[in-house]
Amino acid sequence: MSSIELVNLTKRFGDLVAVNELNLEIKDKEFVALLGPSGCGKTTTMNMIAGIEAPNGGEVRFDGKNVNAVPPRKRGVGFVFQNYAIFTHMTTYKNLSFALEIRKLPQDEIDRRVHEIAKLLDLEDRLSVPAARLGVNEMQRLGIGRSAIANPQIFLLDEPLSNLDAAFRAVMRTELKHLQHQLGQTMVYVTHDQLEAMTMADRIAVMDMGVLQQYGTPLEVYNRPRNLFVARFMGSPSMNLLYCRLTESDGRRALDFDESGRVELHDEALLKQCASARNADLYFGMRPEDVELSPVTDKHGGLAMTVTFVEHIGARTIVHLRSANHEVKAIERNDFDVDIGAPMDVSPKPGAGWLFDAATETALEAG
Amino acid sequence: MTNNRALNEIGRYALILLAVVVAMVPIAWMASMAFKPVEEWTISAGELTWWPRNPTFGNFEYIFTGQTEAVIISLDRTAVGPVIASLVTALFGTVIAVTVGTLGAYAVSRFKVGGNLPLSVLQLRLFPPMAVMIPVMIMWTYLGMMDTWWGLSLIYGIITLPFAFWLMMTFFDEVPREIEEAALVEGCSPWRVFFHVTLPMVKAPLATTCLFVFILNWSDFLIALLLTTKDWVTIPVFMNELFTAMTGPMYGAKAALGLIAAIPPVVFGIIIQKHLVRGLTFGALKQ
Amino acid sequence: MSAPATTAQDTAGAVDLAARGRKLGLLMTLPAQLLLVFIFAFPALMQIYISLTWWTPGDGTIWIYAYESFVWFDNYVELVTSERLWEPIGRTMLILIVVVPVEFVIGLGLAVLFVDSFPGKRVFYSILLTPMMVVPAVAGYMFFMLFQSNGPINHILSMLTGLDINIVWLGDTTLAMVAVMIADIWQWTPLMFLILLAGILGVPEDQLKAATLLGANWGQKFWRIVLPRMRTVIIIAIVIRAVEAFKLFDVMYVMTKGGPGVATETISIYIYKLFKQLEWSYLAAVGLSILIALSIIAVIGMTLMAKAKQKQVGDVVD
Repeated sequence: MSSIELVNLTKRFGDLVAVNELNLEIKDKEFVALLGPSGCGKTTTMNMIAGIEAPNGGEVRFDGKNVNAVPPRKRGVGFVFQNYAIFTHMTTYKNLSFALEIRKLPQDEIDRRVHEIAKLLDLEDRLSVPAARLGVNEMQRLGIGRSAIANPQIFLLDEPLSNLDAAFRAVMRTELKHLQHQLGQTMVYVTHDQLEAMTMADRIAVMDMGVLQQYGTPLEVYNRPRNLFVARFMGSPSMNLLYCRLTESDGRRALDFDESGRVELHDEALLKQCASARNADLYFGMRPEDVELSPVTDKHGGLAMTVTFVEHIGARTIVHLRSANHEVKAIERNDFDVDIGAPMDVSPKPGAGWLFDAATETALEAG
Repeated sequence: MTNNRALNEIGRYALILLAVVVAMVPIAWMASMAFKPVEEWTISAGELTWWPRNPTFGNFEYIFTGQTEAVIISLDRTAVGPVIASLVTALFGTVIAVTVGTLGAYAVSRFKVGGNLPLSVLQLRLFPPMAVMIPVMIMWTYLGMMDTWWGLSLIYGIITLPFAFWLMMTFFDEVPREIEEAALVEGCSPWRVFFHVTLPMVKAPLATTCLFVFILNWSDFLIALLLTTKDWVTIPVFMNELFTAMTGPMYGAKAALGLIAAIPPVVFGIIIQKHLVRGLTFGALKQ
Repeated sequence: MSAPATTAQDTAGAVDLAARGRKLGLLMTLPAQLLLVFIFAFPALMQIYISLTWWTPGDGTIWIYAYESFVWFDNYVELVTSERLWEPIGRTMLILIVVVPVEFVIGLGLAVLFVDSFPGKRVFYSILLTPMMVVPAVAGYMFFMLFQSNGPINHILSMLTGLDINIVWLGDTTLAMVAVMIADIWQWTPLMFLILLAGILGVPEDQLKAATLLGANWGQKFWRIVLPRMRTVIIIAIVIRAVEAFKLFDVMYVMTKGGPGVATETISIYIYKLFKQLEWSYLAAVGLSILIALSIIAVIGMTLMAKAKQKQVGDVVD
């Protein structure tokens, strides 16, 4: 059993508050990603879970027990550094056996387990090679194996894939996920790559400036971002955020986008959100893949915008549009083409769209 | 857990303080002797005082003026000469070592000439001076350089050349070449590049090297002992010779001299302490 | 990177500092080369020449006429066979064998204390380096005063033991050695401390953190990570100290002048005595032999270092 609980966790470096009253619970055997830009406090948080940094306030709990006072070497936590921190003066074998030798296990037991994990990580034929001479990809596996061999219940990884080449990164993503299931560990994974977090994590904790922005499954975080930060951070290209005003006429609600146009609201989810609106200044968010482009007709369904740029990136086409006060990116099929300067009608696909309060920058409650 | 940490801290401080005391006691004792009047120079162990009962500048007065009422015998020469000798020879020795060393170091660092120069220069430090002093003395006598400031400065410059050379070489290696290459492209000659572009960039390393070499030259004893007889005796040699039949080993006076001699290197050493490792290991290690 | 080139030849010449400066480089290394030749070539020949004769200044002739008392290798034979040389060498070795390990251990201990930061660290660091910076001749005198029979050392010992200690340190053959060793340890431990601290700090912090998280305690980290990575540093420290120990003169001379009798007569002091006794040709032979011996040791030391560096060459990342 190895659940992790962070209770009001705080860390200060001088005047800078790196982690601000963080509350997070990670279930046993869960794969959680700590996602955010540089400096958001994710690595500091993980360091506190490992015990390398001591919190200024709050608690770290393993299985409900406060471990604040437990020194890092006694926490039984596996840790993979971003640059792997391999013992370069030892062979691969010695790197792997290190944790077991520390615990004074008998030699044949050590040998067995080293070979076992080397096989698992495809390092068996590199065992006698000085660790410094391994390739980057091998080093990364060694970094994992070195910690994994001690069978820690909790595994912490600090951007372990950022040094790898793109092709291998994709391979390692699946490998890591597979490994986690096999070893049955709770994994906490720090990254700034939202795609990585989306593909690997059971739940994502999005952080910014030391504060937890949202904590939920990948789809939740993607489709129902809690605030503008999360909305912008997830997805590439990021969510379109259009400033507008909520109006009501004849009992019908609509969003006024000034010169760009007016969109009547029929969608139930959006209407529910409107019900909880405190003021009329809102942001309307829609994902680029949820944007519907159609030629301009008399029946104005959406916003009137002009095409400014068209990117053909192979699998898809990204169309950039703008109007007097707004900019939108839309994703279309790869054979979609349109002239620059062409006027288009821009509207959200049915069921898409998400509203935010412009002042607080948080999403409106959906009933 | 915090108790353990506190204990560790106390232990650490205790050990460090012990080391500090050990480091300071000899120096403190000499300082104390330097200010003791003649009567307090030799006392039986039971009455030993750590600090002078009647601190006085008498010793200093003595060594610089040659006589005080306290000491019956006056010196036939004061410490003024040796102080000047130490200063002058250490200074010029430094000038020689640093100039020759910097020029050579730059050439080796940038132009890849000199072949084995770095290693051959290193050899100068390898040998016990005493083992090679005979030919040097003979040469120096032959060339009329015995007991002269230029003769002593020259040998000092040679002996400390390895340090100046290696220090500046490691420093030059750390200066990026792009700036010099840019100057070359602009049309400067290599000499101008060195003199007007590179040198200004290494002012601090140059100062460090100068201080380092100065300390070594100033601290020399054996070479001065052999190559000077009267006129250009340096402070350590003079200090060693201070002995009169009447008052015996002049503790106070020698201590005063020792204090004067010890201060410049200690002060300089602390100033350049960041680079001591680099200098002493010929760049093999850096701090 | 540089200004746009007009022709390929232009760039090649302009940017290649090494090629352009060749002539200047040779000129700049000339002073150093001259000094080296000056101090090596002529004196070396002179020394070889004299060592093959029986000349002393007492003869009344200039050294050039030394050939008049040519004795070929007699001097060398004597220095190998007679005991006169081996005693000072033995004493020097004895000092070395005691002093270097002690300085190493204490230096290492101090270095370990200084790895983390703590208030006052810089001040303490400067203070602990001071002994190394004291003029050796002056340090010798300091300890001369300390070890007087009515001096502070006896005083402290008396206080600690309650007895009336009145040892004549510098007059006893064994104790004089001890005193001299203590003086050396006082003066040169800071050097070990300095070098070893630099070595310890050179160990990558990440690897130490990783080891902690793998469960290693302080001792295990020290033996398995810090020390192995300090191989080169340790060799450097020991070689430098050993070479310097051989040259030891100032402190000895000022403290004991080699006495009592010949109890603390190290190699350098022995040679100095030969000099004073005008046995210059024998001295030349002795000097030359020492030169050769030390050169061999230096070569061995360098090869050791190269080998140790090779073992760590794998550390591309570091």
